[in-house]
Formats: sequence, structure tokens, C-alpha cells
Amino acid sequence: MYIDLKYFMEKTRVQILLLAVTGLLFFKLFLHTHSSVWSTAVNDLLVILVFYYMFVNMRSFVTSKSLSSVTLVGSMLVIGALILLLFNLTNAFVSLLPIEEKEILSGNNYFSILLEFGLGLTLILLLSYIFLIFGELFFLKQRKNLNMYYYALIIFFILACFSSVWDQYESLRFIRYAFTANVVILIVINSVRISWIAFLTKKQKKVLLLLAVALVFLFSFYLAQLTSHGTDIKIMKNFSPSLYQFNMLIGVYAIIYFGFLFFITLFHIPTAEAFDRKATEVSSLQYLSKMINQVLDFNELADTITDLAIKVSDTYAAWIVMKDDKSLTPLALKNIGYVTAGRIISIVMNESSNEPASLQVIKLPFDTERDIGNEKYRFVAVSPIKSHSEVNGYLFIAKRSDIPFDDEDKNVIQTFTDYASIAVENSKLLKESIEKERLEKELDVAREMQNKLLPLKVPQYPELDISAIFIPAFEVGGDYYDFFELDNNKLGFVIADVSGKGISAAFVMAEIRGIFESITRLISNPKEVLVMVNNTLKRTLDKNSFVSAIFGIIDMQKSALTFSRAGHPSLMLLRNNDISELTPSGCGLGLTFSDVFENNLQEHSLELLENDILLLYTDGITEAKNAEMEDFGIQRLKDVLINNKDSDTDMLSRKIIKAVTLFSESNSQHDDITLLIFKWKKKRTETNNG
Amino acid sequence: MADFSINLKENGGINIIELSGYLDAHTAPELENAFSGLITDNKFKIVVNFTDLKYISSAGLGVFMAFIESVRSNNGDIKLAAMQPNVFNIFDLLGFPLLYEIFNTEEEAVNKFNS
Repeated sequence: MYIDLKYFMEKTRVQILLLAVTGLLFFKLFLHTHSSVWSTAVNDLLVILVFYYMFVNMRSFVTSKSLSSVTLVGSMLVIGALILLLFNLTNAFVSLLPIEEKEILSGNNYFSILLEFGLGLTLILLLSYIFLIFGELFFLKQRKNLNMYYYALIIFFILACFSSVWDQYESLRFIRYAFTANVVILIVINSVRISWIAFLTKKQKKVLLLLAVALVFLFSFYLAQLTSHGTDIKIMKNFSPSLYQFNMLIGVYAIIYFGFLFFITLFHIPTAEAFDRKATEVSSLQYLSKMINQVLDFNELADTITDLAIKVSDTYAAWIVMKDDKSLTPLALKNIGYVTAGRIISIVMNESSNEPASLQVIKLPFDTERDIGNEKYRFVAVSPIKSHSEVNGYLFIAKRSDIPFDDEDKNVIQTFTDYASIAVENSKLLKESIEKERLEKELDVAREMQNKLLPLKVPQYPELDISAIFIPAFEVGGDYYDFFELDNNKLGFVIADVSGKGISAAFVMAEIRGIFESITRLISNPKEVLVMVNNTLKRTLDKNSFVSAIFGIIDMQKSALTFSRAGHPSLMLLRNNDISELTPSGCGLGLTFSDVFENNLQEHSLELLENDILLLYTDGITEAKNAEMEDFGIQRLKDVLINNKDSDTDMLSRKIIKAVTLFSESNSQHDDITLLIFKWKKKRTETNNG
Repeated sequence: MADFSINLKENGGINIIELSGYLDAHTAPELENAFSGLITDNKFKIVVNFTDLKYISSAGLGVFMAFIESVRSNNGDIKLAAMQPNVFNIFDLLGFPLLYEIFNTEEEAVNKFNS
């Protein structure tokens, strides 16, 4: 809706302009008589209407371009020159015509009217542009609301112009003079308020200075032309006295405005450099603080930092040196080679016997000039890049001139060092958080694997009460247990602890599970099973990893347990009120792949009696630590076991876990905890007895 | 837990690694570096003194396993000495005594090399 309206407005503006132009032409051709003041008044009203709509159309065209102030002033010079050219061309053209000047000025024939109309319309076009640019310049970088002055100026412009219609009555001229005086006062007021010059660079100011001089001269010629009473001027006066008056006022406006502009610019020139520098500094720092939050790669940021540091401190070369352990790595070198930079670094590091702890300026020794070839650096500023009072590196800024760094330079260098510090800090934090995230992902995977590898539920036997508890540590520990329901009413079981933690432990665990799963189908002798597992692991286990395990078989019919132990903590047997730790010889899986393993692996067999409790665990229980870094230990485990010997296995394992948890309350669990408990419930039968 | 330190010394061509503190997954790389250093210097007669070692985890045990093969194939050995009972217990449970010589004192271990 809004767009439509805007489009409609724009369209009507053009239409009104065309209508006004046509109206003016029609009036001039058929109705206008020069002798009548009122006819001239109507004529000039039409001219003002045409001018206004020309101005409005022009404004929507120019403001959409948003040109710089210097361009605007430059375009003024071009347009002014065009107007002067137009006047002189008209003169030349008229003098070539075989008709008398009188004839042309009479306004009685179509030719003279059309000539007058053409000149007038072109002037309106060019002048409305100039007037528009004055407006643009007036509002440029203006902070206060000065609309009032501007509109007052326009109104007095119109009044001063229109009142010139009655110029032939000398008694009425004072009206025009009064309005003109107002216009001049407003012009002066408006010209003093030029605030946009300060924002220009030194180069732009110099250009502006030249333009101002040229414009003052141009418009002086322009005024001279207007007062020369040549044919061209007479034609224009014929076209419209107001337009002539307007021309005069524009000329005055231009001379006053550009006169002021010249002096204001001139006064700005000495401070231009300082202003330039401050402006670059501010914009650089703005840019840098934006970059720091957007760019995560430190090297890329380092480039930006040295780049801007040179620009702002107005020096020649800059680079950053990163320090890790003892070595110094230069990076982001600007305008300097690695070799030269390296030499300067070593000079600086030798000069300041202990490495610079704050910003230092060092005068490079004279004889090194030769050493660093034709690049004669005289001064170098070194500023340490710190995070948490630890020096991570240095920002180097080298100067070629003999003028040392002043306080301003040092401030700038310090600021850039601070930014570099933030950037280093950010990139460190980022790396850490990525690493942490990666580790956590890895642990998630490992934990999931472990969960899937462990049996969902314990097998059920009338003779046997079984409980299995597994509590994973935050860092997956590699504990594993499993049950194998074998033929002839036998139950195989394994408890194992893979050395190491995390994903690698989880992988070994997965492998071991597969090996046990397949081997127990073929062999049902604990020692043979473990020997086979060890041989199979030879191919895949890392040199420095091993697995401790106990594999056993419970024969329900024979009430017998047979097991072998490969480096795992003892199997505890509670019988009556006694706990025995059964520790048949045997070294961990993966410790050796020679005969030593098999030769030293014993098998232990025993007959199970009613209420016998078998307890298997991983060292996560015995090595659980309290605040004093004491181990939970075997004795505490035994105590809990004996105190709860009459409970069922689930209750017993809960009691043990509770005891461990209470003991290690103030310490996080750092290893997996696995607990397997069997309770033999079968009464001694006759056959067993016999 | 993080306090762990290694001291290297030499006694008549035999290199002694003195351990103290806690040897676990986080500190094991330090011991690995010590072993790699000795091996690259072609020093294969190594005695590890455990007097001040308070704790060893499975990752710590793994370090000895990682280097024993290359040391022995160069006619050297890693001999372990002066373990506190709890540390010895861990070695013992895993069956290390079957594969490594473990002595009560550093001197005994050194003498074993010289004999």
C-alpha cells in the first residue's frame, strides 16, 4: 500500500512538472504581454511553480545517490561552469543571427519566445540542482534541527525573487531590497554552520580547499556576467525577472558559502592529520572488536591486528611473536621478512636481559643496520601479549624514521596488544572447549558401548542366587562381566577389567566379549578358555594394555565351582563365618603371550555347600578413596560381607555399594565398579554326601 | 593426585629411575618419556626404585609392559625394586613377578645386573 502510494506520488510529481511546463509555454505563446505587470506576475508564478516541481523531482533523484560532500561541491563547480557556458553560447548564437537584438527581445514572434523558453527552462534545471546541493550541504552531519533556518531561507528566496516583478516601480523596490537583505543574512547564518569538514580526511580537505577557491572565482565571474546586461541576460529577464533575481542570489550565496568554506577548511588543515589518525584508530578498534567475536582463527586475527597496528600507529613494520615453552614463532609479519624479524627479535631478547614484561621501546644498535640489509629500522616497540599474567607472546612494531615512539604511539600499541591478548585467550578457550566436547562425545560413545555389552539380566537357577551390579565411572573404566548358560546345567561367568579408560578400553571390552562368547561354545575348561583368550588377544591388544579376568564354571548338578584367575583380584568365598580369598596363580591377559602364561595359570575347584557366598569384584571397589585418600580396601569389603551374610545377594550387593559410596562420599568415583555375587542354595544331597 | 615425580640417576652403568607419588593415567606419560629417553640413549639396564611410589594404576603398569620387550631384546632388563606392600600387591595380583624380577632393595637389583 505504502509502496503504491509512493510510486503514485512520484508519478504525479513528474506529471505536475510537465503540466506546469506546458502551462508556462502556452501562457508565454498566447497570453503573455510584457507591458502588463500582472501578466508578468502570473508568468513568474508559473515559473516558480515549474522551478518548485523541478526541484522536488531533482531531490528524489539526487538524495537516492548519497554522494560524498566533496563530490557534491565538485558537481557544483561543473554546473556553475555549465551555466556560464550557456550564457556565452546564447550570446554567440544571437550575434550570429541575422536579426536585430530588439527583434529577439520583443517577444512578439514565436522564435524569440521559444529561444527565451529554452534558455529559461535549462537555467531552471541547472539552478534547481545548485539550490538542491546547497540544501544537501546544509543538512550534512548537522546534529541540531535546523529546518527552520533552511525553510526561512527558501521562503525569503521566493519572496525576494517574486518581488522583482515590480522592479519598474522605483517606490516599490524597497520590498525587494528588504527581502534580499533577509536572504543575505540567512545565507551568512547558514554558511557559518559548516560542520561536515571535520569528518574529511586530510586529502579530502586539500581538494576541498582548491574547489572552494575555484568556486568563489567562478561565481564572481557569474555575478559579473549577470550584471553585464548582455543579450543573454536580457533574454533571461524577459523570460522571468524572478529567475534573474534568483540567479543573482545564488551567485551571492555561492560566493559567501564557498568563501566561508575556504577559511573553515583552511583552519582545519593543521589538525587534519591528528583527526585522521584518531578517526582511523577509532574505526580500526571498532572493526577489531567486531572481528574478535566473529573470527575464531587466531592466525587470521593476528594478521588483522598487525595490519591495523601499522595503519594506526603510522609505522612501517609489525609482527607478532608467539611463545611456547622456549621457542618463539613469528607470525602475521607485515612489511618485514622472517630473517630481519628474527634478527630484531634476538637483539630485543638479548637487550632486555629478562624478557620484556611491559611495553618497551628499544633503540636498535647502530652497527646492526648493516646486518639487516637495506631495511634500516631505528626503533622497535615490544609489547607482551598476556593472559592471566602469563606472557604468551609479543607484538613488535618497528619504525624506520629517526623519530622515536611518542606517548600517543605507545597508547595505540598497548591497545592493540590488549586486543591480541583477548584474541589469544579466546582461541585458547575455544580449543579447550572443543577438546572437552570431543572427549565428552567420546565418553558418551564408550559408555553406550559398555552398556550394550553388559548382560541385561542375570540368569535364573533354582540352586543359585545371583546378583550383578555395575556402576560406570564418568571416564569409562573398561569393566566387564558376563554369563554363559552352558550345556549340562552349567553356568559360565566372567568378570574382567580392561586397563586404561575411555573409548580404547571400551573397544578392548567389546573384543573380549566376542572372544568369550565364541570360545565358551567350544571349550568348557576355565584354564583352557583363558589361555585361548590370551592367544587371541595377542593380535590386537596394545603393548601397554592388559586385562585382568576371572573365568569360572558352576556345575549345578555336581555342586562344583571351577575357575581360573588371570591377574584379577581374588575370588572371595564366605563359608560359615569365614572368608577365604581364593587366589590361584595366573597373570593378566596380554601381559605375556609366551608359555609363561599357560604354565603359570592354575585352575581351582571346590565343592559348593549350602549358603556359600562367592564374591567377585573389580578394583573400583577396593580402590575407592575417601577424603584422606585412603583406599576402601579389602578388609572393609570383608566386614560388610560377613555382617550381611544372611541377606540375599541383591541386598548384600546393595549394602556393599552403600558402604563404598558412604566411604568415598567426598571423592568422585574414578573407576568403574563391578560386583558379582553368587549364593549357593542347594542342600547337600545324598549323592554329594556319599 | 597429580603429584608424581621421576628422578633419574646412574650407578655404574645401570640406570635407576626413582618414582614418587601417584602413577596413573595422567602421570604415566612422564614415565614413558623417561623410558624412551633411556632407550634412545641405548641404556638398557634399568632399575626402577618404587620406594616413594604411593599408588599405581593399570595405566602405570602398562608403561613397564610397553618397554620390556625392546629392553630385553637389547640384552637389558627392567628390574623393579623396593615396593611398598600395597604397590607390590597390585603387581603381584596381576602376575608381574612371573615376568619381572622384583627385589626388596635397589642395591639387590643393581647387584643382580652386575653379577
